[in-house]
Amino acid sequence: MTAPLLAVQGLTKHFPIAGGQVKAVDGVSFDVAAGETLALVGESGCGKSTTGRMLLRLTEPTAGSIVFGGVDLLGLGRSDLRRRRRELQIVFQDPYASLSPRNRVEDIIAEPLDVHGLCATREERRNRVIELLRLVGLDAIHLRRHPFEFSGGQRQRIAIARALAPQPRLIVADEPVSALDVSVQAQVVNLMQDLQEKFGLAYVFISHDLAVVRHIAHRVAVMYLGRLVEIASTETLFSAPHHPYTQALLSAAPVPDPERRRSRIVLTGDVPSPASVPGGCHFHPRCPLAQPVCRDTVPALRDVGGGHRAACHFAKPFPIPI
Amino acid sequence: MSLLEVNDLRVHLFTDRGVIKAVDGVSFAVEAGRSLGIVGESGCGKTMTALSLMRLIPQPPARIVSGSIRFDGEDVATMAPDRLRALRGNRIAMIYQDPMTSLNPVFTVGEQIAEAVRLHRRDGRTAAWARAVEVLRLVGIPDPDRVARSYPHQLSGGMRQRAVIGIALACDPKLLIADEPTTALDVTIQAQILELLRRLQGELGTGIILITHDLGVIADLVDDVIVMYAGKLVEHAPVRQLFAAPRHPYTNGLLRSVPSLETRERRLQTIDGTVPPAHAMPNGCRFNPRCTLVQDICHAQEPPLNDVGGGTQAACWALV
Amino acid sequence: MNIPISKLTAIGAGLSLLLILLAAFSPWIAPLDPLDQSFIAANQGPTVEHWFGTDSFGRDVLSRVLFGGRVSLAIGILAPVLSALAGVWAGMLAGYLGGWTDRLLSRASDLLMSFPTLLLGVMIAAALGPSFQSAVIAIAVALFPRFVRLSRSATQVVRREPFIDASIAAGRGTVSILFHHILPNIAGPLVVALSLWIATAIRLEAALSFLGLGAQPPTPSWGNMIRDGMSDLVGDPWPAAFAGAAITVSVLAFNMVGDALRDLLDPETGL
Repeated sequence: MTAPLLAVQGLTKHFPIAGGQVKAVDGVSFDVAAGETLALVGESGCGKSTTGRMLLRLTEPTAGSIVFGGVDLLGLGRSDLRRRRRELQIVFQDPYASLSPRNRVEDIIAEPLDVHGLCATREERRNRVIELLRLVGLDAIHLRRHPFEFSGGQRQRIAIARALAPQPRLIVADEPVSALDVSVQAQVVNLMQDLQEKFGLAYVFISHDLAVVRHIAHRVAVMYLGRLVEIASTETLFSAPHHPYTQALLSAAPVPDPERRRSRIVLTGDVPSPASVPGGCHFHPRCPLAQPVCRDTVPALRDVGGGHRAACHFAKPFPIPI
Repeated sequence: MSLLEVNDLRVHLFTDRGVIKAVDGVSFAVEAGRSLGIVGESGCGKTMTALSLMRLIPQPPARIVSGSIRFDGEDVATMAPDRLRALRGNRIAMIYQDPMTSLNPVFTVGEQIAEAVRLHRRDGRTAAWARAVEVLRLVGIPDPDRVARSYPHQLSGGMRQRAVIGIALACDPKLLIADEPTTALDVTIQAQILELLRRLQGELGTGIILITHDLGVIADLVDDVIVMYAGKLVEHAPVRQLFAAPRHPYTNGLLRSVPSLETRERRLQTIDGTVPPAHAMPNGCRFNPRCTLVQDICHAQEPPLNDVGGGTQAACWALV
Repeated sequence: MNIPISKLTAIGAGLSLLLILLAAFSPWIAPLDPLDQSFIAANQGPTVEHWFGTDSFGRDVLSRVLFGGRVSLAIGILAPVLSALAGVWAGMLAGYLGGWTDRLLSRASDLLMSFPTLLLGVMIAAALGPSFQSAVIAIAVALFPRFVRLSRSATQVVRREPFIDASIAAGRGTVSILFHHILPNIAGPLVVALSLWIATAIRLEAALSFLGLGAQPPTPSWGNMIRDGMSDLVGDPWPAAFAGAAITVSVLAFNMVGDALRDLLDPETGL
């Protein structure tokens, strides 16, 4: 068995606040194989964005390990980390704020090339940028323009071109299509898949949109209040989720089919704040299956068959109600 | 007589770069107790349409240049200001996308609901407060007394949106306009709010106009749907009909570009190209640069809205 | 080309430029020697020979205003520029790095700011002995915390934008990010502030030399011309009046430049 491209173990991030701390991410572990897409899904406060940022050390973890291509990223000094940054890139959610407004497209995309000295001459740099623009469906005429001249979808393409510039092996995509119109989302999702096929890219795809995740991900990890509650192949997760939260999430997602106004598992209560997490299983106050043991003991992420893992004392397959 | 009848509404935006026809000849009706969904992508004019219904569009730079908006027989577009004030928040109410900015952070939730009540009814402070608590209970907030005395920042997103719905319903409006009411909410909270809206519609018989880009939400809640593109109404159908047999090529393209929760497709279908910039719309049918069914006439003349069978109306030359 | 500034602000900008040129070329423009005294010509109003009249020593007021402008504008421009060079850099570090760097720099600049500006200027100028240089230092120190504050908060806003994270992810180092990304994005409001504080500095210089702490006589500066003119305001108001008018016009002009720059530098509507 080949070693995974990315192996995350016990990743944790605590933010100190007045009177305690916020456990934004609390001991998360997962692997990503080369060329595969792992989706991180969950609602606000679950820690998926923070996890994504920690993979690139944009936020420094409080504890845990991140092993990428066999190298422990957390043990790297500044210049070694800079070198490694070539291989791990990120695309952000907001296409309007993720491109520097004062620079031209050419300079924005070429930034990783400049920083790592990957192009010897201006001409080589320009050609490489044109090549990247074409890869994302844009053109050489866009080189000298500024971001404000482009639509949201086009800006996201520019952001993707920038991420591709240093030829990374893995891209963290933090809600990359959430801010785009539906028809534009489809274009960008297709683009990302094409690029994955072409370059063997791995993606950590962070999203709250389960339908998009179903389409693009090979495996899915569900997070709730800083912890990983279920991880499985996409097919398995969507057809037979084992964790009650996953099931509620799947059943809550509105489906564009009026014939399917199905009765849902509507969770009562609100998503609690990460500043005051319940003891034991984080989900127990809202869980329809909760028992006393759930309040006292944290359920471990255990194997329920074929690499499918769920963190629930009562994990069993739940078919989605029709 | 319909509760709301919009006829050939045209709203133009007057900018330095020219006139933008934000809403260009939109007509529809909403019956009492029924719900209409207005769906479209950014720039299609759905929010402008919604804002026009209570003449809330920013004038300048926008202006209702023609058309009528008859609510309960009276034309909102030409109504006197004091009649309009009596209408807003009272007989028609609106809720917006972001509950945090819809609520005033320095007043308690109860005070904000009571304010709406006192504004339109001659209730005293005590009666208005009692109504506020009652409304909070109506929108499914547990412990409404305590919540009424809370400030917005003390409540979660879902609770805030319920409070916002509460303010809108405080005076028992006949029509509720909801502009992307669940877009800013988490999926599990969204499910709660949609269920609330469904229940309220059943219990109170309020007409609802729901504006959203989310086709799943539309499928879940409304009776009829209109689809807008670049300021134009391109399709109008009962909800089941729209999803089962979309007629306009844009509606078709839109429905097919949404990934399915049930199965994984090889590749998502897309609509070629992008929405043209507002000040540079093509001649004829605005969708013609991106349409798979395009013909010569599409470049020359705008298609009218026609009955195309099954209860659907669509504006497309290829369907005539 | 569509230049998005109003006529008024264009006038102000032009005026400032004119003033600077007049001051700079005063040795060649001034009709007479500003130090040339004449007992007979003293205390005269505007005449053909002396357009702005003469002061109590018979010196030509017009020439003194021009030469005084040289001093006043030099200090008024130099001090804020020096202050900005130090203050913007300190503010960027504080805003970007946060933590102890921020705490230290912020406390220090808060301390400086708690002194009334004029008082601070007076204290420093008095301590260093009155001169052109001490006026520059005094004003620069007084303005320093303001630049720190402005650039710190502007930096913090830009720091939060995802494109900065994208740059870090691309591998750019901290100093490089500060110069390449932060500085251009905070430059707009800073340049506007700079021109507004030049206006302030001109007034401060006038106040300092009025108190005798700036350029020393017989070298004219607008402030000390007012000081000299104070004693004989009824009989010979001309030196004080014209020097005062010069200060007012300069301050106004630089304020307008500030407005013009703000419009010009907006990336979407400006250049």
